[in-house]
Amino acid sequence: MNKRYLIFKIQRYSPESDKNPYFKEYKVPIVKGMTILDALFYVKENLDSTLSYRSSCRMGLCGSCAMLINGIPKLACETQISDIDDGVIELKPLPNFPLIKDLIVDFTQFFNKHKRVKTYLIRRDFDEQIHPKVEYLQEKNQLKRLLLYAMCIKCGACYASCPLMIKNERFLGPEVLTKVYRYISDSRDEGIDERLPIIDSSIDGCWNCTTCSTCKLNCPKEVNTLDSIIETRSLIVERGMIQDTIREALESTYLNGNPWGGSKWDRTAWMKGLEIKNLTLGEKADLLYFVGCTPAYENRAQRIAKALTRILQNTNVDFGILGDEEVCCGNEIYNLGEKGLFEMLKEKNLELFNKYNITRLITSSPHCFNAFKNRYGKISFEVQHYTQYIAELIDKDKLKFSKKIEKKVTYHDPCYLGKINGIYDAPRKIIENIPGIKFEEMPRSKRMSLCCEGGGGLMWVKVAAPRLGEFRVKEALEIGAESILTACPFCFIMLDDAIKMINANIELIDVSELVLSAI
Amino acid sequence: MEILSHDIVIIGSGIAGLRAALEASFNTNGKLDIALISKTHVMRSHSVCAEGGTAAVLRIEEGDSFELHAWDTIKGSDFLADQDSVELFVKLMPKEILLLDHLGILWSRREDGKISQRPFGGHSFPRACYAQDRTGLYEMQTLYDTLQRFDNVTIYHECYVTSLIIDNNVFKGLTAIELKSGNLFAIKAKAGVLATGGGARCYNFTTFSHTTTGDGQVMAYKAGLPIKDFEFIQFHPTALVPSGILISEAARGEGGYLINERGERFMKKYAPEYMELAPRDIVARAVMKEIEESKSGCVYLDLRHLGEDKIREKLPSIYEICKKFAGINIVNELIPVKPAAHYNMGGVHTDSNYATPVNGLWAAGEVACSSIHGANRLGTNSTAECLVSGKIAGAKAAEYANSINEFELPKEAIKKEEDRIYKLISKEQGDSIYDIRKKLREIMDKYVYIFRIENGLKIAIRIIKDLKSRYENASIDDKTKIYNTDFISMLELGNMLELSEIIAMGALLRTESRGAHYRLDYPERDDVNWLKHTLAYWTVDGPKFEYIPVRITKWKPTIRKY
Repeated sequence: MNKRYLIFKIQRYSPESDKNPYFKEYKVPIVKGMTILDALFYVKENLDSTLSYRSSCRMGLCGSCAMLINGIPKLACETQISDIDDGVIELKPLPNFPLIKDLIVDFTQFFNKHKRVKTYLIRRDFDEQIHPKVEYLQEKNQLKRLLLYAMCIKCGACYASCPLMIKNERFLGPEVLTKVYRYISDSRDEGIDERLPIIDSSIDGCWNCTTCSTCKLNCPKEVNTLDSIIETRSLIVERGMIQDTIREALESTYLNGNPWGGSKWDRTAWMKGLEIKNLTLGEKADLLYFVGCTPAYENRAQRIAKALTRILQNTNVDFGILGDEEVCCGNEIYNLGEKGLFEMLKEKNLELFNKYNITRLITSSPHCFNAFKNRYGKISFEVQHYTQYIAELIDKDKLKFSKKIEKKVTYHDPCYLGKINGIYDAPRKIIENIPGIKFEEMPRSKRMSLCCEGGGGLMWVKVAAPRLGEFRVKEALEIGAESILTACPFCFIMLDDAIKMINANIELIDVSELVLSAI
Repeated sequence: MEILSHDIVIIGSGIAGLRAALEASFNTNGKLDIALISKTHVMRSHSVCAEGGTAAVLRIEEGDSFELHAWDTIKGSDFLADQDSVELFVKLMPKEILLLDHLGILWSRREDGKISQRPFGGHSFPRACYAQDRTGLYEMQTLYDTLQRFDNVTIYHECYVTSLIIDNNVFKGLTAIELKSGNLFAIKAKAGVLATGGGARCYNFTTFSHTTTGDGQVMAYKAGLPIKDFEFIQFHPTALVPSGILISEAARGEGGYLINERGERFMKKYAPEYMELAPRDIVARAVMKEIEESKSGCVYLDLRHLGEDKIREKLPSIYEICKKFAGINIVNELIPVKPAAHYNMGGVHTDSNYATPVNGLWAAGEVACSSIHGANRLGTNSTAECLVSGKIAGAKAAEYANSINEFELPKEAIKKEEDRIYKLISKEQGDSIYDIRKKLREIMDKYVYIFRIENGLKIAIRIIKDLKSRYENASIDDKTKIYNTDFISMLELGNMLELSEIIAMGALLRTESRGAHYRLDYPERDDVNWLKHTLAYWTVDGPKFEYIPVRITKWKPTIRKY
């Protein structure tokens, strides 16, 4: 039988002899059932014993062997080589940790973050706690819920995934925040009042999180980091401990149905000059275009709504809007922890969709899309993000590009479209269909895409500069892109801010605008 | 060399080490200056791999008793257990379960909200408290998290202890290498707790973590302490083929069957009453016999009749492991398993209170041998012992440290260790340590496994001695200081060679079959000549053996049937 070999491209670095990390290639014979860790052992025992990596339990429990495997943080021991079909396997140390040697990074800071936030069960009577007489009771349902947050093995995959760590190493990060929530929500714990003030911070606490979900997506043990952070915010909001800017956004949403402080009567101001059916005025249409608050109210994002409207009109789609009756989808309200308000908005929107017999709708924003798809429970209408809809129009030959656009572009994945809803292909398909365009990915794309820092309600949180958008724009500049494309109003605003902030010579275009200009 | 100073140093950060650090902190109101030193990051210890549960008598009103737990343990041990140690152990266990509950562990619960317990092999009452099938991990989390309360504990992550410093039979401290810098340093301490875990990575097919290499046993052995009953290695009946990853006995505790190639529940031939829940030595031998007879390479664990809901709720790790490592869906497929080296019944000799013969030094957890497991440990008694022994050792060490005056570290011991380390690392050109390691594991699996025989053991001993001399001339390629895993592998191999020699020689000398030690040429238990503990002492020429009696309080040895 012929032996099968695979090339392992492994990052090497010894601080005693190397200025910079470099890659070294190893040819490894592959047998059935072999894991990445098995391959590392093969290299160390047979090809190069100086290769350094950590490993211990080799059964996915001790958390020693997390590393970047073809760009994604994973445990080497539980990653089957046969599951990777990229041909070459590239191994790198986890990012967001200081590098020590080869695949080994420094966890000192990671472990040091536990003490301050009191990640242990707190009882008022400590003496009784350590001299127990009778067991505490715990309901099975409560236990079941806690288990969603508890299976952490401290491997660091979440920390390596978290975009905030790039700019703010003080941020406690998903692992610590999840652990804190796990204790806060334990019926045996009495420490909520001690812990909440510590994590209620936009310097290092839970208000740093953009809810981009990279941590949850890459957690090898499927710990629900994201929900634990949102649930923590909920507890803080319940106690009324929130920043002014968040309060204003929430109040504006409560009073006017949008977080931007605009009057509810100005929701359609953006469409001046455009003829669009208003379904609330008795008109009928096949498709509802749910504009969303940001494209409706935010000056810069209005161009997305305008471009999308003109595309739909150009392709003769029968569509309409909800006019001034449309209210915020609530996605960011939910992310800010104001669940009561979210429920209200949800009821209101569902009532509208019902009243006007909506069977199909598209959104400009991935955030609205996410709210309807994942947070509204069982829904009786079909919802798509506009990039999915346009990709379908292209498929069905209903949308054809007649103009050549000769530009080198790159695409920034909005988190709520890509990582959270798995829609990576539709926008890329649209871009690549445009004649003349030269498309190139940024180093961080798709599942490891860098967040713009606009999600999770962070539009309304006072956060320290620089914002992540600046890192993102620099990344686009580094690959020599002339334009950076995106498909989300929040990303658009954040990247626009970033371009101005660093005075970058790059053009920012929403995918909808690009489509319109090529029709 | 830098010399750091603490009141207590705890070596090892598994369940026993963390529990010891907590007890010492509780008892001194967080005042005692404690060092916790581990060759891995804390939380990466092999304890996280413990799956099935932790034994304790919680429900006397429902029919369990200390007597029963003690008797099950002693019968399970094939009467090699020291009975006073067992009695103390079972009495202290219930509090440990409650303490973990009070510290926040997610014990699985019954409908009434009380801690749930499941059946386990050799236990006559369902007394295994469990957290799904991730008991060790959740125990570790709870202990680690609670340790964050205490500012008096300094954690030395990833520092490899190379030697114990003992002067006139008094513990003084240790030397260690900080992996991150490569620096050798010393810790001076008034008391020490050795809690480094097991050491059967000298086998190839094993459930042990790669890091479980018996470092603690050997640092004690080299410092003159006796290693007790080390020929008794537990082979866990059900390790996943081909990786050797543990498939918890909880799978059988929850009702899983063992079947052979012909689909028969073969345990009816070997343990008609207890069936799959006979003690591990008996099940492991039965599995090996079935494998040898059918030449199938494995038997099968059948969980299909348990149903998906029960499997996902109670055995989620087994579900995940089989899926990820073998591509098997246990809801409707069989799990191929065979026995794997799993646990050291033996270890550093201690009394019932986990004190070693050296003043100021205690041992806790798997590295220790206070003889509660004798010749065969019952499932769920190991995490239990880690907790109890950690508690006792932590308390005793704290008490002792408070009674000791300041002293100086003996300089010559430090110098000697510095020279030894330097000599080892700077050797040019020699045998590959990885070749030696491979060969060692090969012969341990071949000759010192479940079924042992004089000739095989003699071959093994000859090869081990040969490997030891090859090791003397071995060298490594990585000559750098910072995080030199090549060098750590070399030190670990040295330890595994020493321990393998003790196992094989102890096994050769013990001309009887008892518990996990089975001699094909001496298939019966021999209480007249062998109801005694083996003690191995280090000498330049290999271990020197002595024997001490078993302490029997109430239960006279009888025929052991299940």
